[in-house]
Amino acid sequence: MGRQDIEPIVELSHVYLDYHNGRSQGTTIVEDVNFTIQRGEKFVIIGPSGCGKTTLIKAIGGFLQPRQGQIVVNGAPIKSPGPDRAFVFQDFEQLFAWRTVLDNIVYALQVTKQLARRAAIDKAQFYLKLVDVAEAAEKYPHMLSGGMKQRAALARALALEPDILLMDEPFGALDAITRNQLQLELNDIWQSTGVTIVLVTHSIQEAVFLGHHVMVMSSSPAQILEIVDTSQAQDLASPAFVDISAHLQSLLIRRGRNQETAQESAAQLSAVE
Amino acid sequence: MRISLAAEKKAWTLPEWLRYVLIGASFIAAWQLYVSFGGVSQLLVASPASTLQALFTDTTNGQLPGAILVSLQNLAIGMLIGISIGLLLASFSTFSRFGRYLLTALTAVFSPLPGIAILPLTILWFGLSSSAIIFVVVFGAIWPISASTDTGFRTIGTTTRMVALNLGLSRWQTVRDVFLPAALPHILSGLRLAWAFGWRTVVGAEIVFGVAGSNGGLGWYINNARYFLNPPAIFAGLVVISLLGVLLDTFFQFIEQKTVVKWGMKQAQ
Amino acid sequence: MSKRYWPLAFLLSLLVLFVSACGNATSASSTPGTPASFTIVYQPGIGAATFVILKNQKTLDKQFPNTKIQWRIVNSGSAVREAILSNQGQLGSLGLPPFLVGWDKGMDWKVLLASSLSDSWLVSKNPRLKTLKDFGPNDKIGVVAPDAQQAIVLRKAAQDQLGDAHALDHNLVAIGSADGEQALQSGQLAAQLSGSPFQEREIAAGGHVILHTRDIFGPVGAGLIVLPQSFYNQYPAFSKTVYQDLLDVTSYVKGHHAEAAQYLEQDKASGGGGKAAQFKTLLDNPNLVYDKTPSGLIAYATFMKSIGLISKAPGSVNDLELPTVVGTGS
Repeated sequence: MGRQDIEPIVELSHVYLDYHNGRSQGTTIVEDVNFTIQRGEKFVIIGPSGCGKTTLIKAIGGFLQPRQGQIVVNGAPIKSPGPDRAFVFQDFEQLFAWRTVLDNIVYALQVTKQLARRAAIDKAQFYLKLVDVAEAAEKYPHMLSGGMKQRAALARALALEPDILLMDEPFGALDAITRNQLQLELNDIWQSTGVTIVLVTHSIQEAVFLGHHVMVMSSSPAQILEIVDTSQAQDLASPAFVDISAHLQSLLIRRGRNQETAQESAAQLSAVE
Repeated sequence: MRISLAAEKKAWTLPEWLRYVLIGASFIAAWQLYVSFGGVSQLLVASPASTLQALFTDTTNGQLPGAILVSLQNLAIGMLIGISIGLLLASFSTFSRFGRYLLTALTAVFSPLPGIAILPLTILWFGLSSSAIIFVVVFGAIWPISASTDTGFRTIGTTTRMVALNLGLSRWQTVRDVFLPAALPHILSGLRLAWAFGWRTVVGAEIVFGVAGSNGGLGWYINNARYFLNPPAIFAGLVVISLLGVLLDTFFQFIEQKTVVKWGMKQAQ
Repeated sequence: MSKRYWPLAFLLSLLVLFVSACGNATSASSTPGTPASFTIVYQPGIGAATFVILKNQKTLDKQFPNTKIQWRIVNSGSAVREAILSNQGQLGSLGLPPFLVGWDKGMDWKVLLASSLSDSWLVSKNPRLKTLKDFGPNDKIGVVAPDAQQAIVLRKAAQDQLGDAHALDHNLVAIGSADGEQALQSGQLAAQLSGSPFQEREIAAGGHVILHTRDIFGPVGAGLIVLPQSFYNQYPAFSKTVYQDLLDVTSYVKGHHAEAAQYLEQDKASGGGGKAAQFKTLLDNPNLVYDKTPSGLIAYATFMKSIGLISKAPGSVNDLELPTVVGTGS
């Protein structure tokens, strides 16, 4: 388990988020959420589809402003996106198609940290190795598999050495085996770097396995149902893991309308047993 | 039981380049046959042989190379200006609501106009100089380029935009480093189209323009050949115009290969 | 050849045969010895007087009721040549150079008679341009075509005055007389060498004359009225009648300036948009000479051959003439 400082790095107070979709009058998608994220922890947000968890993580990323309330990062309210809160999207097309994998990271470093090319290349190669995607350095993104693309995107985000690593269902489009692989690797990376991670998922197994805290959200307009401390549940086979998973499932099924989440977690529970 | 070997032996098909060569050769043969036996006056239709002769004569005496240079120069200058204006208009449209209305309105009104149609006007404005021709080329180039660039900018995925924001890029960096490459497949389509239009416009304008005595480009060369009753030269001029058009397009194909196809952003054509 | 390609080859040969069947022979009308149709192609300006009157008096129509008589106005001698080349016209009125170019390239047309000779002026509105030497590379000169009589005269003048026949080639702009007049007025052209009534109007609007064409080759070079030799051979009586009609109408014009001027004003396309009074003045001008004898053919041909515009010169002027005027002229 990693270090956990007591100090919060992200604080949300009474945050209301609206979803506009082209119309001027928005619908409230996130209602009155309050929570803090500790520096250096892995914080997972889970909830049924469409509940606003993506909107929430985007708000932390600075892509939208809350209608009401404050989002404070490192003591200051955030106004816009920035490399201190590096994002890894679910979309496979998040890397720049016109640059090689290495070049994607080098560019990011040059433009955010004003590094000289040689220094940027060295740093980029370090992170590519860390994420185990070094052999794809000279390839263009379209030549990579889904898993490799996400690794490369992760490498780019990590290379920025951000305060917070924000991940919006990064493994959602991958097959189960690659997904499990990447979960393990993410844990290892966190061990090496200690970066604060905020991750959105709709997989209970992923949430419990990865997170120190799992914040369960209701369906839209979302509110926090509960924040579960999952720091003790590391081992998939341990009773703590099973109990917490069951608890999360009950939360989600009771308030959520998403049957798939429930069925998926039920399948996972039976697999574990 | 006898196993037929025919299924295993692959039928030999003509390689593709040979197909094209054969088609071209039979076309030329038919053309020659028509001229030789079709009873048409050689003053109306030149034979392939005399066309080739005219090509050779006018290349060695410098007339054709001179004309080619003038046409290409007119085209290049016009395109450069037209591309710049087109890109500017598209950027303006992407970043400002007024810019968008402006571009839509201008495109709706002006893009249906063939460049040659405004030639009489440009002759009035710019006189009987190559500026009139260049302006016409500029005019023809702006609309496909601004439209395609604008589309290119608009179809950039939200994820790409968010990555640019996430990296904290300035507006200018975003346009230069992210939007332009992301929109490149569309921009290149627009460029390819604009160059094709531009080439046709240049030649047409030069013919209409009719600078009588001096070296006025390929359009002038053809027109001059007409005045001096030289159909082989007319045909030779047409052959050169067509070849150059193909070359230009091939050049763009090559650029596409080296960029958007390499990056997996477009199917090779 | 594989079976699949037979239909294609068949179609291709059909195409070739079909197109080649579009021959060039003039078809005869129901009256023997006359063609089914006869088209006269001429250019606008004072030189169109005889044609306008011939057209209005319907002389040919009455003489040959079974022949469809048509009239076409085109902008240059080359256009006249093209009309005859593509069998869209039989009788053409044009200057010496485009005729010679056609003859040089193998067209079988010959001179039926000459029409009229007038003086063309190089007019400019720019006081800086007094002689040919004053023309700089950006001073554009408008001529109706690069092989028009005016353009050839200009090249001879360039040879005489500047030492190089091609010295002004880069200044020449091919532009119709009417458009050229506009361009001169608006300053797009530095000078224009066209004909009447355009040059008179330009002078009236403040221009001045830089040179007269009659000073270059001399008082020769009357416009030509030409006919293909093959047509003449096929319809000799018809052709001779047309020849006589043209002579008659020329006499008429010589004796009836006012009426002719009236005709030219009314037929705007033929007249070039001038007023009857203007035309009358032009017709009254002794500079305008009607002469059926062709002149200047050898002189022009020799010059054009010397500067490479044609490849051969006629041995004698008879080579270029139809029986109507053979043995005369120069």
